[in-house]
Amino acid sequence: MSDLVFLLPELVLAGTALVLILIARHVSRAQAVAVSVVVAAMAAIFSGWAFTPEAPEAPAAMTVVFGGTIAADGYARFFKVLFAATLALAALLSVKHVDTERVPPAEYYALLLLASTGMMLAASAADLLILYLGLELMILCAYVLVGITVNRPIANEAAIKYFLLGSFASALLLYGIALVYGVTGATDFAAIASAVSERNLTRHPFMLAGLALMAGGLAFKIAAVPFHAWAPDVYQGASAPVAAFLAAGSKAAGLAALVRVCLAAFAPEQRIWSEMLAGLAVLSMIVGSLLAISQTNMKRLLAYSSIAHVGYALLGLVTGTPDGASATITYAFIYSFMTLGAFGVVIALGERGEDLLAYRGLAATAPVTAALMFLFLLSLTGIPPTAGFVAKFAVILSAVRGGHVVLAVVAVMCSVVSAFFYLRVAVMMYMMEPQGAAPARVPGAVAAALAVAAFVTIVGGILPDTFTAWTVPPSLGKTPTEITRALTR
Amino acid sequence: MVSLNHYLVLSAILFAIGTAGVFVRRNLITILLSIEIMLNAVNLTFVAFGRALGAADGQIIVFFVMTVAAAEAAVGLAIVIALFRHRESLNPDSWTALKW
Repeated sequence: MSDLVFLLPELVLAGTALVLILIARHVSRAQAVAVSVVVAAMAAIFSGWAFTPEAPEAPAAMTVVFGGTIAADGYARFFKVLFAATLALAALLSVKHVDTERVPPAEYYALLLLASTGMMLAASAADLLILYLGLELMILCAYVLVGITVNRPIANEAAIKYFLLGSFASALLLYGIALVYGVTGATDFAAIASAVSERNLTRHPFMLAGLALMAGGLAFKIAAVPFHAWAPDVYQGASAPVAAFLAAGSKAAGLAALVRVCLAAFAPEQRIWSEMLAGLAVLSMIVGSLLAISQTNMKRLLAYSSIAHVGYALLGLVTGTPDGASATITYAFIYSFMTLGAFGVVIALGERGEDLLAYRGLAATAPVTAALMFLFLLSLTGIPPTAGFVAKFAVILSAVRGGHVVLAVVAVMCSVVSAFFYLRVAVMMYMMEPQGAAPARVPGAVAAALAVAAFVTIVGGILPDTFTAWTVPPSLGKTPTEITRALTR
Repeated sequence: MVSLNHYLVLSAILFAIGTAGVFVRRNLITILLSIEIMLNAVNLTFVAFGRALGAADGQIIVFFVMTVAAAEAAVGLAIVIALFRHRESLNPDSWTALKW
Protein backbone atom coordinates (compact mmCIF):
# COMPACT_ATOMS: atom_id res chain seq x y z
CA MET A 1 0.00 0.00 0.00
CA SER A 2 2.72 2.46 0.95
CA ASP A 3 4.35 1.67 -2.39
CA LEU A 4 1.47 3.46 -4.11
CA VAL A 5 2.73 6.77 -2.70
CA PHE A 6 5.67 6.60 -5.08
CA LEU A 7 3.35 6.25 -8.06
CA LEU A 8 1.02 9.10 -6.98
CA PRO A 9 2.17 11.48 -9.74
CA GLU A 10 1.50 8.86 -12.44
CA LEU A 11 -1.79 7.82 -10.85
CA VAL A 12 -3.02 11.41 -10.62
CA LEU A 13 -2.12 12.14 -14.24
CA ALA A 14 -3.57 8.92 -15.65
CA GLY A 15 -6.71 9.17 -13.52
CA THR A 16 -7.37 12.73 -14.61
CA ALA A 17 -6.79 11.78 -18.24
CA LEU A 18 -9.36 8.98 -18.02
CA VAL A 19 -11.92 11.27 -16.36
CA LEU A 20 -11.30 13.90 -19.05
CA ILE A 21 -11.99 11.33 -21.77
CA LEU A 22 -15.17 10.14 -20.04
CA ILE A 23 -16.67 13.62 -19.73
CA ALA A 24 -15.08 14.91 -22.94
CA ARG A 25 -18.27 16.43 -24.35
CA HIS A 26 -18.81 18.69 -21.37
CA VAL A 27 -15.26 20.02 -21.12
CA SER A 28 -14.36 23.40 -22.61
CA ARG A 29 -10.89 24.33 -23.71
CA ALA A 30 -10.31 26.66 -20.76
CA GLN A 31 -11.34 23.96 -18.30
CA ALA A 32 -9.08 21.37 -19.92
CA VAL A 33 -6.06 23.72 -19.77
CA ALA A 34 -6.76 24.63 -16.15
CA VAL A 35 -7.15 20.99 -15.15
CA SER A 36 -3.93 20.01 -16.95
CA VAL A 37 -1.86 22.74 -15.31
CA VAL A 38 -3.29 22.05 -11.84
CA VAL A 39 -2.73 18.32 -12.20
CA ALA A 40 0.82 18.88 -13.45
CA ALA A 41 1.50 21.02 -10.38
CA MET A 42 0.00 18.31 -8.15
CA ALA A 43 2.18 15.68 -9.80
CA ALA A 44 5.27 17.81 -9.22
CA ILE A 45 4.36 18.33 -5.55
CA PHE A 46 3.62 14.64 -5.03
CA SER A 47 6.88 13.55 -6.59
CA GLY A 48 8.79 15.95 -4.35
CA TRP A 49 6.82 14.93 -1.30
CA ALA A 50 6.82 11.17 -1.70
CA PHE A 51 10.55 10.76 -1.78
CA THR A 52 12.58 11.29 1.32
CA PRO A 53 15.74 13.17 0.44
CA GLU A 54 18.71 10.84 0.35
CA ALA A 55 22.20 11.59 1.45
CA PRO A 56 24.01 12.93 -1.63
CA GLU A 57 27.20 10.98 -0.91
CA ALA A 58 25.46 7.59 -0.77
CA PRO A 59 23.04 7.15 -3.66
CA ALA A 60 24.41 3.66 -4.20
CA ALA A 61 21.64 1.45 -2.90
CA MET A 62 18.67 1.42 -5.22
CA THR A 63 15.41 2.10 -3.44
CA VAL A 64 12.90 0.00 -5.28
CA VAL A 65 9.19 -0.51 -4.72
CA PHE A 66 6.59 -2.80 -6.32
CA GLY A 67 8.78 -5.88 -6.09
CA GLY A 68 11.78 -4.20 -7.66
CA THR A 69 10.07 -2.79 -10.74
CA ILE A 70 9.83 0.91 -9.85
CA ALA A 71 12.79 2.90 -8.57
CA ALA A 72 12.06 5.50 -5.92
CA ASP A 73 15.20 7.62 -5.96
CA GLY A 74 16.22 11.21 -6.47
CA TYR A 75 16.75 10.53 -10.16
CA ALA A 76 13.12 9.50 -10.65
CA ARG A 77 11.92 12.46 -8.62
CA PHE A 78 13.99 14.88 -10.65
CA PHE A 79 12.58 13.62 -13.93
CA LYS A 80 9.02 13.52 -12.62
CA VAL A 81 9.26 17.20 -11.71
CA LEU A 82 10.79 17.94 -15.11
CA PHE A 83 8.00 16.09 -16.97
CA ALA A 84 5.36 17.82 -14.86
CA ALA A 85 6.90 21.16 -15.84
CA THR A 86 7.05 20.14 -19.51
CA LEU A 87 3.43 19.09 -19.36
CA ALA A 88 2.32 22.37 -17.79
CA LEU A 89 4.24 24.47 -20.32
CA ALA A 90 3.02 22.39 -23.27
CA ALA A 91 -0.56 22.68 -21.99
CA LEU A 92 -0.24 26.47 -21.85
CA LEU A 93 1.45 26.69 -25.25
CA SER A 94 -1.32 24.60 -26.89
CA VAL A 95 -4.08 27.10 -26.09
CA LYS A 96 -4.06 28.90 -29.43
CA HIS A 97 -3.69 25.80 -31.60
CA VAL A 98 -6.52 23.94 -29.91
CA ASP A 99 -8.79 26.88 -30.73
CA THR A 100 -7.72 27.64 -34.28
CA GLU A 101 -7.34 24.05 -35.50
CA ARG A 102 -10.58 22.83 -33.91
CA VAL A 103 -8.91 20.07 -31.94
CA PRO A 104 -11.26 18.40 -29.40
CA PRO A 105 -9.82 19.89 -26.20
CA ALA A 106 -10.54 17.14 -23.66
CA GLU A 107 -9.00 14.40 -25.84
CA TYR A 108 -5.98 16.52 -26.67
CA TYR A 109 -5.18 17.31 -23.05
CA ALA A 110 -5.93 13.74 -21.95
CA LEU A 111 -3.33 12.53 -24.45
CA LEU A 112 -0.81 15.06 -23.14
CA LEU A 113 -1.44 13.78 -19.60
CA LEU A 114 -1.12 10.12 -20.61
CA ALA A 115 2.07 10.77 -22.56
CA SER A 116 3.54 12.48 -19.49
CA THR A 117 2.51 9.47 -17.39
CA GLY A 118 4.46 7.25 -19.77
CA MET A 119 7.51 9.51 -19.53
CA MET A 120 7.40 9.41 -15.73
CA LEU A 121 7.09 5.62 -15.74
CA ALA A 122 10.02 5.30 -18.13
CA ALA A 123 12.19 7.53 -15.94
CA SER A 124 11.38 5.63 -12.75
CA ALA A 125 11.50 2.11 -14.22
CA ALA A 126 13.81 -0.36 -12.52
CA ASP A 127 12.73 -3.18 -14.80
CA LEU A 128 13.02 -3.52 -18.57
CA LEU A 129 9.34 -4.39 -18.95
CA ILE A 130 8.19 -1.24 -17.11
CA LEU A 131 10.68 0.77 -19.16
CA TYR A 132 9.19 -0.61 -22.38
CA LEU A 133 5.61 -0.05 -21.24
CA GLY A 134 6.35 3.51 -20.14
CA LEU A 135 8.04 4.40 -23.43
CA GLU A 136 5.22 2.76 -25.41
CA LEU A 137 2.55 4.66 -23.49
CA MET A 138 4.41 7.86 -24.25
CA ILE A 139 4.97 7.20 -27.93
CA LEU A 140 1.49 5.79 -28.67
CA CYS A 141 0.01 9.04 -27.32
CA ALA A 142 2.61 10.98 -29.30
CA TYR A 143 1.57 9.33 -32.60
CA VAL A 144 -2.02 10.46 -32.01
CA LEU A 145 -0.99 13.94 -30.88
CA VAL A 146 1.07 14.43 -34.06
CA GLY A 147 -1.85 13.43 -36.28
CA ILE A 148 -4.66 14.91 -34.19
CA THR A 149 -5.39 17.60 -36.78
CA VAL A 150 -6.88 15.07 -39.21
CA ASN A 151 -7.80 17.76 -41.73
CA ARG A 152 -4.19 18.74 -42.38
CA PRO A 153 -2.64 16.21 -44.80
CA ILE A 154 0.85 17.23 -43.69
CA ALA A 155 0.07 16.25 -40.08
CA ASN A 156 -1.21 12.86 -41.20
CA GLU A 157 1.90 12.28 -43.24
CA ALA A 158 4.07 13.16 -40.25
CA ALA A 159 2.02 10.84 -38.06
CA ILE A 160 2.37 7.83 -40.35
CA LYS A 161 6.12 8.36 -40.75
CA TYR A 162 6.48 8.67 -37.00
CA PHE A 163 4.30 5.61 -36.46
CA LEU A 164 6.07 3.31 -38.92
CA LEU A 165 9.59 4.18 -37.85
CA GLY A 166 8.57 4.32 -34.18
CA SER A 167 6.95 0.89 -34.12
CA PHE A 168 9.93 -0.54 -35.95
CA ALA A 169 12.28 0.94 -33.34
CA SER A 170 10.05 -0.34 -30.52
CA ALA A 171 10.26 -3.84 -31.99
CA LEU A 172 14.07 -3.54 -32.01
CA LEU A 173 14.06 -2.43 -28.37
CA LEU A 174 11.78 -5.30 -27.41
CA TYR A 175 13.89 -7.89 -29.22
CA GLY A 176 16.91 -6.54 -27.35
CA ILE A 177 15.03 -6.91 -24.06
CA ALA A 178 14.09 -10.48 -25.00
CA LEU A 179 17.70 -11.45 -25.71
CA VAL A 180 18.95 -9.86 -22.48
CA TYR A 181 16.19 -11.68 -20.60
CA GLY A 182 17.18 -14.95 -22.20
CA VAL A 183 20.84 -14.63 -21.22
CA THR A 184 20.42 -13.27 -17.71
CA GLY A 185 17.02 -14.74 -16.80
CA ALA A 186 15.92 -11.41 -15.39
CA THR A 187 14.37 -8.14 -16.47
CA ASP A 188 15.06 -6.00 -13.44
CA PHE A 189 18.18 -3.86 -13.61
CA ALA A 190 19.89 -4.98 -10.42
CA ALA A 191 19.49 -8.68 -11.25
CA ILE A 192 20.78 -8.13 -14.80
CA ALA A 193 23.85 -6.30 -13.51
CA SER A 194 24.67 -8.98 -10.96
CA ALA A 195 23.98 -11.86 -13.38
CA VAL A 196 26.25 -10.31 -16.01
CA SER A 197 29.13 -9.72 -13.63
CA GLU A 198 28.81 -12.97 -11.66
CA ARG A 199 28.38 -15.33 -14.59
CA ASN A 200 30.83 -13.37 -16.72
CA LEU A 201 28.40 -12.75 -19.58
CA THR A 202 29.93 -9.49 -20.82
CA ARG A 203 30.99 -11.02 -24.14
CA HIS A 204 28.03 -13.36 -24.61
CA PRO A 205 26.82 -12.94 -28.22
CA PHE A 206 23.16 -12.60 -27.17
CA MET A 207 24.16 -9.97 -24.64
CA LEU A 208 26.01 -7.96 -27.29
CA ALA A 209 23.16 -8.31 -29.79
CA GLY A 210 20.65 -7.35 -27.09
CA LEU A 211 22.70 -4.28 -26.16
CA ALA A 212 22.96 -3.17 -29.78
CA LEU A 213 19.24 -3.66 -30.42
CA MET A 214 18.28 -1.80 -27.24
CA ALA A 215 20.67 1.03 -28.08
CA GLY A 216 19.03 1.30 -31.51
CA GLY A 217 15.53 1.37 -30.03
CA LEU A 218 16.43 3.99 -27.45
CA ALA A 219 18.44 6.05 -29.96
CA PHE A 220 15.23 6.38 -31.98
CA LYS A 221 13.40 7.78 -28.94
CA ILE A 222 16.02 10.50 -28.49
CA ALA A 223 16.43 11.04 -32.27
CA ALA A 224 20.16 10.33 -32.42
CA VAL A 225 21.75 9.84 -35.85
CA PRO A 226 21.31 7.38 -37.64
CA PHE A 227 17.85 6.95 -36.06
CA HIS A 228 16.90 10.60 -36.55
CA ALA A 229 15.06 10.55 -39.91
CA TRP A 230 11.65 11.02 -38.31
CA ALA A 231 12.42 14.11 -36.25
CA PRO A 232 12.48 16.88 -38.90
CA ASP A 233 9.36 15.57 -40.66
CA VAL A 234 7.43 15.06 -37.43
CA TYR A 235 8.36 18.42 -35.94
CA GLN A 236 7.44 20.17 -39.19
CA GLY A 237 4.19 18.28 -39.74
CA ALA A 238 2.90 18.34 -36.17
CA SER A 239 1.44 21.53 -34.81
CA ALA A 240 4.05 23.62 -32.99
CA PRO A 241 2.95 22.87 -29.37
CA VAL A 242 3.03 19.12 -30.04
CA ALA A 243 6.47 19.47 -31.59
CA ALA A 244 7.60 21.42 -28.52
CA PHE A 245 6.22 18.74 -26.22
CA LEU A 246 8.00 16.00 -28.17
CA ALA A 247 11.28 17.88 -28.42
CA ALA A 248 11.38 18.56 -24.69
CA GLY A 249 9.51 15.69 -23.08
CA SER A 250 10.02 12.61 -25.22
CA LYS A 251 13.69 13.42 -25.68
CA ALA A 252 14.23 13.83 -21.93
CA ALA A 253 12.31 10.61 -21.29
CA GLY A 254 14.46 8.71 -23.77
CA LEU A 255 17.62 10.11 -22.19
CA ALA A 256 16.34 9.28 -18.70
CA ALA A 257 15.68 5.69 -19.72
CA LEU A 258 19.00 5.39 -21.56
CA VAL A 259 21.06 6.76 -18.66
CA ARG A 260 19.42 4.46 -16.15
CA VAL A 261 19.65 1.36 -18.33
CA CYS A 262 23.32 2.00 -19.07
CA LEU A 263 24.36 2.75 -15.49
CA ALA A 264 22.09 0.47 -13.49
CA ALA A 265 21.58 -2.59 -15.70
CA PHE A 266 24.60 -2.69 -18.00
CA ALA A 267 27.31 -1.21 -15.77
CA PRO A 268 29.58 -4.24 -16.39
CA GLU A 269 29.25 -3.62 -20.15
CA GLN A 270 30.36 -0.03 -19.85
CA ARG A 271 33.21 -0.26 -22.37
CA ILE A 272 30.87 -1.58 -25.07
CA TRP A 273 28.02 0.91 -24.72
CA SER A 274 30.43 3.79 -24.26
CA GLU A 275 31.80 3.12 -27.73
CA MET A 276 28.34 2.77 -29.26
CA LEU A 277 27.14 5.98 -27.61
CA ALA A 278 30.30 7.84 -28.62
CA GLY A 279 29.54 6.94 -32.24
CA LEU A 280 25.93 8.08 -31.90
CA ALA A 281 27.05 11.32 -30.24
CA VAL A 282 29.62 12.24 -32.90
CA LEU A 283 27.24 11.46 -35.77
CA SER A 284 24.37 13.36 -34.12
CA MET A 285 26.44 16.46 -33.45
CA ILE A 286 27.93 16.62 -36.96
CA VAL A 287 24.84 15.65 -38.99
CA GLY A 288 22.47 17.77 -36.86
CA SER A 289 24.64 20.89 -37.09
CA LEU A 290 25.43 20.58 -40.78
CA LEU A 291 21.90 19.84 -41.98
CA ALA A 292 20.43 22.65 -39.88
CA ILE A 293 22.35 25.20 -41.94
CA SER A 294 20.28 24.73 -45.10
CA GLN A 295 16.84 24.78 -43.45
CA THR A 296 14.26 27.43 -44.30
CA ASN A 297 11.53 26.24 -41.94
CA MET A 298 11.93 27.23 -38.30
CA LYS A 299 10.44 23.99 -36.91
CA ARG A 300 12.71 21.92 -39.15
CA LEU A 301 15.69 23.97 -38.04
CA LEU A 302 14.79 23.34 -34.40
CA ALA A 303 14.43 19.63 -35.21
CA TYR A 304 17.97 19.41 -36.58
CA SER A 305 19.15 21.48 -33.64
CA SER A 306 17.50 18.93 -31.32
CA ILE A 307 19.43 16.15 -33.07
CA ALA A 308 22.69 18.02 -32.52
CA HIS A 309 21.78 18.70 -28.88
CA VAL A 310 21.18 15.03 -28.18
CA GLY A 311 24.74 14.45 -29.39
CA TYR A 312 26.03 16.96 -26.84
CA ALA A 313 23.89 15.46 -24.09
CA LEU A 314 25.28 11.96 -24.74
CA LEU A 315 28.85 13.23 -24.14
CA GLY A 316 28.29 13.04 -20.40
CA LEU A 317 26.94 9.51 -20.48
CA VAL A 318 29.79 8.27 -22.71
CA THR A 319 32.20 8.62 -19.78
CA GLY A 320 30.10 6.13 -17.80
CA THR A 321 30.68 7.91 -14.47
CA PRO A 322 27.95 9.20 -12.14
CA ASP A 323 29.31 12.74 -12.66
CA GLY A 324 29.00 12.37 -16.42
CA ALA A 325 25.45 11.07 -16.00
CA SER A 326 24.65 14.14 -13.90
CA ALA A 327 25.95 16.35 -16.70
CA THR A 328 23.71 14.54 -19.19
CA ILE A 329 20.70 14.95 -16.92
CA THR A 330 21.47 18.64 -16.45
CA TYR A 331 21.64 18.97 -20.22
CA ALA A 332 18.28 17.25 -20.69
CA PHE A 333 16.73 19.59 -18.10
CA ILE A 334 18.09 22.82 -19.51
CA TYR A 335 17.54 21.78 -23.11
CA SER A 336 13.87 21.05 -22.34
CA PHE A 337 13.28 24.61 -21.22
CA MET A 338 15.22 26.35 -23.97
CA THR A 339 13.59 24.32 -26.73
CA LEU A 340 10.14 24.86 -25.19
CA GLY A 341 10.98 28.57 -25.21
CA ALA A 342 12.13 28.59 -28.84
CA PHE A 343 9.04 26.67 -29.95
CA GLY A 344 7.00 29.02 -27.75
CA VAL A 345 8.18 31.99 -29.81
CA VAL A 346 7.23 30.10 -33.01
CA ILE A 347 3.77 29.57 -31.48
CA ALA A 348 3.50 33.19 -30.37
CA LEU A 349 4.14 34.39 -33.93
CA GLY A 350 1.36 32.19 -35.31
CA GLU A 351 1.35 31.12 -38.96
CA ARG A 352 4.35 33.23 -39.93
CA GLY A 353 6.46 31.78 -37.10
CA GLU A 354 7.29 28.73 -39.20
CA ASP A 355 8.98 30.55 -42.07
CA LEU A 356 12.54 31.56 -41.36
CA LEU A 357 12.26 34.64 -43.59
CA ALA A 358 9.34 35.95 -41.55
CA TYR A 359 11.76 36.71 -38.73
CA ARG A 360 13.27 39.60 -40.71
CA GLY A 361 12.95 42.80 -38.76
CA LEU A 362 10.98 41.21 -35.96
CA ALA A 363 12.80 43.40 -33.42
CA ALA A 364 11.05 46.48 -34.83
CA THR A 365 7.51 45.07 -34.91
CA ALA A 366 7.57 42.82 -31.82
CA PRO A 367 10.53 43.80 -29.64
CA VAL A 368 9.69 41.58 -26.64
CA THR A 369 9.13 38.44 -28.72
CA ALA A 370 12.33 39.10 -30.63
CA ALA A 371 14.28 39.60 -27.42
CA LEU A 372 12.97 36.31 -26.02
CA MET A 373 13.88 34.49 -29.24
CA PHE A 374 17.34 36.03 -29.06
CA LEU A 375 17.71 34.74 -25.50
CA PHE A 376 16.70 31.19 -26.44
CA LEU A 377 18.94 31.23 -29.52
CA LEU A 378 21.90 32.35 -27.39
CA SER A 379 21.14 29.55 -24.98
CA LEU A 380 20.84 26.95 -27.76
CA THR A 381 24.19 28.14 -29.14
CA GLY A 382 25.71 27.88 -25.67
CA ILE A 383 26.83 31.45 -25.07
CA PRO A 384 27.18 32.70 -21.47
CA PRO A 385 25.43 33.89 -19.35
CA THR A 386 22.57 31.61 -20.46
CA ALA A 387 21.76 28.16 -19.13
CA GLY A 388 22.75 26.57 -22.45
CA PHE A 389 26.36 27.51 -21.75
CA VAL A 390 26.29 25.88 -18.31
CA ALA A 391 24.83 22.68 -19.76
CA LYS A 392 27.30 22.49 -22.64
CA PHE A 393 30.20 23.33 -20.36
CA ALA A 394 29.24 20.50 -17.98
CA VAL A 395 29.08 17.80 -20.67
CA ILE A 396 32.26 18.92 -22.45
CA LEU A 397 34.09 19.09 -19.13
CA SER A 398 33.01 15.58 -18.20
CA ALA A 399 34.07 14.31 -21.63
CA VAL A 400 37.53 15.82 -21.20
CA ARG A 401 37.82 14.42 -17.68
CA GLY A 402 36.83 11.00 -18.96
CA GLY A 403 39.65 11.13 -21.52
CA HIS A 404 37.40 11.64 -24.56
CA VAL A 405 39.23 14.70 -25.85
CA VAL A 406 38.35 14.03 -29.50
CA LEU A 407 34.66 14.04 -28.62
CA ALA A 408 35.07 17.35 -26.81
CA VAL A 409 36.85 18.90 -29.80
CA VAL A 410 34.09 17.72 -32.15
CA ALA A 411 31.49 19.17 -29.78
CA VAL A 412 33.18 22.57 -29.70
CA MET A 413 33.56 22.64 -33.49
CA CYS A 414 29.90 21.72 -33.96
CA SER A 415 28.95 24.49 -31.53
CA VAL A 416 30.79 26.95 -33.76
CA VAL A 417 28.92 25.65 -36.81
CA SER A 418 25.62 25.86 -34.93
CA ALA A 419 26.33 29.47 -33.96
CA PHE A 420 26.05 30.29 -37.67
CA PHE A 421 22.47 29.15 -38.12
CA TYR A 422 21.20 30.24 -34.71
CA LEU A 423 22.71 33.69 -34.86
CA ARG A 424 21.63 34.12 -38.50
CA VAL A 425 18.07 34.26 -37.16
CA ALA A 426 19.18 36.87 -34.63
CA VAL A 427 20.78 38.92 -37.41
CA MET A 428 17.55 38.67 -39.41
CA MET A 429 15.51 39.87 -36.46
CA TYR A 430 17.70 42.82 -35.53
CA MET A 431 19.45 43.98 -38.70
CA MET A 432 16.91 43.64 -41.50
CA GLU A 433 13.91 45.66 -42.59
CA PRO A 434 10.57 44.53 -41.13
CA GLN A 435 8.32 42.42 -43.35
CA GLY A 436 4.55 42.88 -43.13
CA ALA A 437 2.50 43.97 -40.16
CA ALA A 438 3.22 43.34 -36.51
CA PRO A 439 2.17 39.87 -35.31
CA ALA A 440 -1.10 39.49 -33.45
CA ARG A 441 -1.23 39.79 -29.67
CA VAL A 442 0.23 36.83 -27.81
CA PRO A 443 -2.32 34.95 -25.66
CA GLY A 444 -1.73 35.21 -21.92
CA ALA A 445 -1.14 31.48 -21.47
CA VAL A 446 1.57 31.41 -24.14
CA ALA A 447 3.18 34.50 -22.61
CA ALA A 448 3.20 32.83 -19.18
CA ALA A 449 4.87 29.70 -20.58
CA LEU A 450 7.47 31.83 -22.37
CA ALA A 451 8.16 33.71 -19.14
CA VAL A 452 8.80 30.47 -17.25
CA ALA A 453 11.12 29.15 -19.97
CA ALA A 454 13.01 32.46 -20.08
CA PHE A 455 13.27 32.48 -16.27
CA VAL A 456 14.88 29.03 -16.19
CA THR A 457 17.18 29.91 -19.09
CA ILE A 458 18.45 33.06 -17.36
CA VAL A 459 18.60 31.79 -13.76
CA GLY A 460 20.19 28.52 -14.86
CA GLY A 461 22.90 30.56 -16.56
CA ILE A 462 23.60 33.11 -13.83
CA LEU A 463 23.21 30.80 -10.82
CA PRO A 464 24.05 27.38 -12.26
CA ASP A 465 23.88 25.64 -8.87
CA THR A 466 20.15 26.34 -8.51
CA PHE A 467 19.20 23.47 -10.77
CA THR A 468 22.30 21.30 -10.97
CA ALA A 469 21.93 20.54 -7.25
CA TRP A 470 18.90 18.37 -8.07
CA THR A 471 20.47 16.39 -10.86
CA VAL A 472 21.49 13.27 -9.00
CA PRO A 473 22.64 10.27 -11.03
CA PRO A 474 20.45 7.15 -10.95
CA SER A 475 20.91 4.88 -7.97
CA LEU A 476 22.66 1.66 -8.82
CA GLY A 477 21.78 -1.88 -7.96
CA LYS A 478 25.22 -2.41 -6.52
CA THR A 479 27.72 0.01 -5.08
CA PRO A 480 30.23 1.32 -7.62
CA THR A 481 33.09 -0.48 -5.87
CA GLU A 482 31.34 -3.82 -6.18
CA ILE A 483 30.90 -3.24 -9.89
CA THR A 484 34.54 -2.26 -10.38
CA ARG A 485 35.56 -5.38 -8.50
CA ALA A 486 33.39 -7.50 -10.75
CA LEU A 487 34.91 -5.80 -13.79
CA THR A 488 38.50 -6.38 -12.78
CA ARG A 489 37.90 -9.99 -11.80
CA MET B 1 13.38 -33.02 -30.19
CA VAL B 2 12.76 -29.32 -30.62
CA SER B 3 15.35 -27.45 -28.59
CA LEU B 4 15.60 -23.82 -27.47
CA ASN B 5 17.86 -23.07 -30.41
CA HIS B 6 15.19 -24.13 -32.89
CA TYR B 7 12.77 -21.63 -31.40
CA LEU B 8 15.40 -18.91 -31.34
CA VAL B 9 16.35 -19.48 -34.96
CA LEU B 10 12.70 -19.51 -35.99
CA SER B 11 12.01 -16.24 -34.17
CA ALA B 12 15.13 -14.66 -35.65
CA ILE B 13 13.92 -15.68 -39.13
CA LEU B 14 10.45 -14.27 -38.40
CA PHE B 15 12.01 -11.03 -37.13
CA ALA B 16 14.13 -10.77 -40.28
CA ILE B 17 11.05 -11.37 -42.46
CA GLY B 18 9.20 -8.62 -40.61
CA THR B 19 12.15 -6.23 -40.93
CA ALA B 20 12.45 -6.93 -44.65
CA GLY B 21 8.70 -6.38 -45.03
CA VAL B 22 8.87 -2.95 -43.40
CA PHE B 23 11.53 -1.79 -45.84
CA VAL B 24 10.55 -3.61 -49.03
CA ARG B 25 6.75 -3.61 -49.22
CA ARG B 26 5.02 -0.52 -50.57
CA ASN B 27 1.61 -0.88 -48.97
CA LEU B 28 0.85 0.63 -45.58
CA ILE B 29 -1.31 -2.30 -44.43
CA THR B 30 1.39 -4.81 -45.36
CA ILE B 31 3.96 -2.73 -43.48
CA LEU B 32 1.68 -2.76 -40.42
CA LEU B 33 1.43 -6.54 -40.72
CA SER B 34 5.22 -6.80 -40.99
CA ILE B 35 5.58 -4.88 -37.73
CA GLU B 36 3.15 -7.31 -36.12
CA ILE B 37 5.30 -10.20 -37.36
CA MET B 38 8.33 -8.58 -35.73
CA LEU B 39 6.50 -8.22 -32.42
CA ASN B 40 5.28 -11.81 -32.53
CA ALA B 41 8.80 -13.02 -33.30
CA VAL B 42 9.84 -11.30 -30.08
CA ASN B 43 6.93 -12.96 -28.26
CA LEU B 44 8.14 -16.35 -29.45
CA THR B 45 11.62 -15.51 -28.13
CA PHE B 46 10.17 -14.57 -24.75
CA VAL B 47 8.09 -17.74 -24.47
CA ALA B 48 10.98 -19.97 -25.55
CA PHE B 49 13.39 -18.35 -23.09
CA GLY B 50 10.80 -18.49 -20.32
CA ARG B 51 10.32 -22.21 -20.90
CA ALA B 52 14.06 -22.86 -21.10
CA LEU B 53 14.70 -20.91 -17.90
CA GLY B 54 11.80 -22.62 -16.17
CA ALA B 55 10.35 -19.25 -15.15
CA ALA B 56 6.93 -17.76 -15.79
CA ASP B 57 8.27 -14.24 -16.51
CA GLY B 58 8.65 -14.90 -20.21
CA GLN B 59 5.01 -15.91 -20.63
CA ILE B 60 3.75 -13.00 -18.51
CA ILE B 61 5.75 -10.46 -20.50
CA VAL B 62 4.11 -11.77 -23.67
CA PHE B 63 0.68 -10.75 -22.38
CA PHE B 64 1.90 -7.19 -21.90
CA VAL B 65 3.49 -7.15 -25.35
CA MET B 66 0.28 -8.44 -26.92
CA THR B 67 -1.68 -5.64 -25.24
CA VAL B 68 0.78 -3.03 -26.48
CA ALA B 69 0.70 -4.54 -29.99
CA ALA B 70 -3.10 -4.32 -30.03
CA ALA B 71 -3.00 -0.66 -28.98
CA GLU B 72 -0.33 -0.01 -31.58
CA ALA B 73 -2.42 -1.64 -34.32
CA ALA B 74 -5.43 0.47 -33.32
CA VAL B 75 -3.45 3.71 -33.50
CA GLY B 76 -1.73 2.68 -36.74
CA LEU B 77 -4.95 1.77 -38.52
CA ALA B 78 -6.57 5.01 -37.35
CA ILE B 79 -3.71 7.00 -38.86
CA VAL B 80 -3.93 4.99 -42.10
CA ILE B 81 -7.67 5.70 -42.35
CA ALA B 82 -7.06 9.42 -41.82
CA LEU B 83 -4.43 9.32 -44.57
CA PHE B 84 -6.64 7.36 -46.95
CA ARG B 85 -9.37 10.00 -46.69
CA HIS B 86 -7.02 12.63 -48.09
CA ARG B 87 -5.60 10.60 -50.94
CA GLU B 88 -7.09 7.30 -52.06
CA SER B 89 -3.78 5.48 -51.91
CA LEU B 90 -1.99 3.18 -49.51
CA ASN B 91 1.40 3.62 -51.13
CA PRO B 92 3.72 5.43 -48.72
CA ASP B 93 5.63 6.87 -51.68
CA SER B 94 2.63 8.98 -52.67
CA TRP B 95 3.13 11.09 -49.54
CA THR B 96 5.88 13.55 -50.30
CA ALA B 97 4.85 16.88 -48.78
CA LEU B 98 7.58 16.45 -46.17
CA LYS B 99 11.00 15.78 -47.64
CA TRP B 100 12.74 12.88 -45.92
